[in-house]
Amino acid sequence: MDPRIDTMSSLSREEAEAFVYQECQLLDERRLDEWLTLFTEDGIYWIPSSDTARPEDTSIMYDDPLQRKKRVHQLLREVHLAQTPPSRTVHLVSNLQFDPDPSPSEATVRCNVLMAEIRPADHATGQIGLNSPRLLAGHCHYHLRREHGRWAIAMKKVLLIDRDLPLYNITFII
Amino acid sequence: MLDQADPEMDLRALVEESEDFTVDTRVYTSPAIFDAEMRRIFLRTWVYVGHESEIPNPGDFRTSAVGRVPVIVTRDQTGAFHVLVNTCRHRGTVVCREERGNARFFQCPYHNWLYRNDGRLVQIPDSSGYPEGWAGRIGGLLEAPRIAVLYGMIFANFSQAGPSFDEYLGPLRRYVEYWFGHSPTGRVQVLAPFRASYPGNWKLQVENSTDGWHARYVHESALRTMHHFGTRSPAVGWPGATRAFPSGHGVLERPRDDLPPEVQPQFESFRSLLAETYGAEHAEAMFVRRQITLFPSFHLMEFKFRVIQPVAVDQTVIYEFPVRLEGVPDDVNAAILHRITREISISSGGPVSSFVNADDVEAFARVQSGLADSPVERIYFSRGLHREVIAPDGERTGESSDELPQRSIYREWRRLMHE
Repeated sequence: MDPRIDTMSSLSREEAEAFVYQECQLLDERRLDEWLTLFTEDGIYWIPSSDTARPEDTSIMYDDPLQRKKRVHQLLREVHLAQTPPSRTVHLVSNLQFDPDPSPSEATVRCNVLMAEIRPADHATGQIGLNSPRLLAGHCHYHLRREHGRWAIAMKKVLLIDRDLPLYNITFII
Repeated sequence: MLDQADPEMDLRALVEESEDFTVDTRVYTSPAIFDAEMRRIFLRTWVYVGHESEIPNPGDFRTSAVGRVPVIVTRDQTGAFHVLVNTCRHRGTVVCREERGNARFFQCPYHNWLYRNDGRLVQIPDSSGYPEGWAGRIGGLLEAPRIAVLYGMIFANFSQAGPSFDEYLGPLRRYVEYWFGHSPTGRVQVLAPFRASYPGNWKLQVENSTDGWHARYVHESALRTMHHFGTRSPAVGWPGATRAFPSGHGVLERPRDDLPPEVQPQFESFRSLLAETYGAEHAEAMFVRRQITLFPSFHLMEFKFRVIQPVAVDQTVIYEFPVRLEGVPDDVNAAILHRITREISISSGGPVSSFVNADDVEAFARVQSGLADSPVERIYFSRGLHREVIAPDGERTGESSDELPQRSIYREWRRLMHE
């Protein structure tokens, strides 16, 4: 471990903001291999389909590390029909709430996310499902843990406002 | 009404079967045909509306739809099921907006008409505004005149005419018995659904659920990903079979040889349990991966129900309900749930975000785009037409890549649309 990293102080607001901004940038630039490294070794990325859902219930996504690697592999290295053409995204996060945590190794960060997504294509012939911007909004809940001397995501849970409604093509990371 | 909308249209010619099996592309794009389907098909055949495990207690209800008719599926205080039209008899307001719940009465919010959970109108506020006995003449919420329950699945038929449920099911019954036989008690519990929508016609998903041919192409990225992570070998040949039945039903069968290592022990013990329960031969016949279509819009998939809900000619909702098998050890049910909700071949998210089903939905949107205003007038379901084998009871069999179940759908579709 790098001895210069202060492992004794808890997460600061500045660090929390920098962390979620960095994640937004990686997602919007489709740098998903780097995104994978933001998680702890057992980290979970979860988009539940109800506000009372448990991990074992049906979810929009519930990705453990292996599942997340498979998803990124399919997105980046295979011709994934639902991402042909791929989504362009802009993630905006705000209303960041930061729970001061006495623990030097755990932290909880909440924020709202508003995400615009579009799959651009030939627009002269009206390709259905493409060329129209879509908005997704939700509450993000991060549980961060200090691992190998840096902060990492133990759980990222995104509670979409339309979590229990039928959705179309969520084959990207929110 | 359909013929008024387009007097040129010959309904019988929309589906043609000779040396080729072709379908007029307007069946996916014409609002007039869609309107006719909702009345001529959905209101004249047996339509799945819910499962008894969703409404186990007196007073339980869930809302659902038959075509575009909103319904409340209730269990009344005596335990009997009712499929009630969710429309107030007074001014036509939707009475109940909750997806699930428990209620002895449903009250319309507009003028407070009150209905019991068996549909009967029991109270009109300040009833002196009507002659005595007037409410009795109204009766109550409209109700599906025929319902049938099979392995807890509740089907409604809004027509008194037409085949009984048993006639409608016909020789498909054996395969439905195989499917539910995975529970030694024949009982399943329906779990919370996956929900997805797509900008395409409802029949695109119905055709796809028993399409054994597309997987290698539409799902190539998922199959290659699984191969990359060592959880699946590349497919060779076309093992399995397709089956088609009178009344529009169909089956796609493939061997269950693609299980990931982490659930293989549980599935092996599951297979032994079935052999003990039914004998080895019957258990082997059962223990096949079967995707079954009950025409028009319901599928029994790999341990989940798939319900196709038409919304508009180019808008559809898919619900997928995983099931828990009664009388099966917890670790087997956990392995099944893992396969449905986590494992890559199906994965979490069902048709909305999974590695597999999201690509199907994308293909449907592409078809809808391709046919939007196209000079392509007919599409083909001819694959395997020359090698259909027809049994005396009407069951047809073909190879697993044949478009046999799709032809079955459109034969019944044509019968109901122009009869």
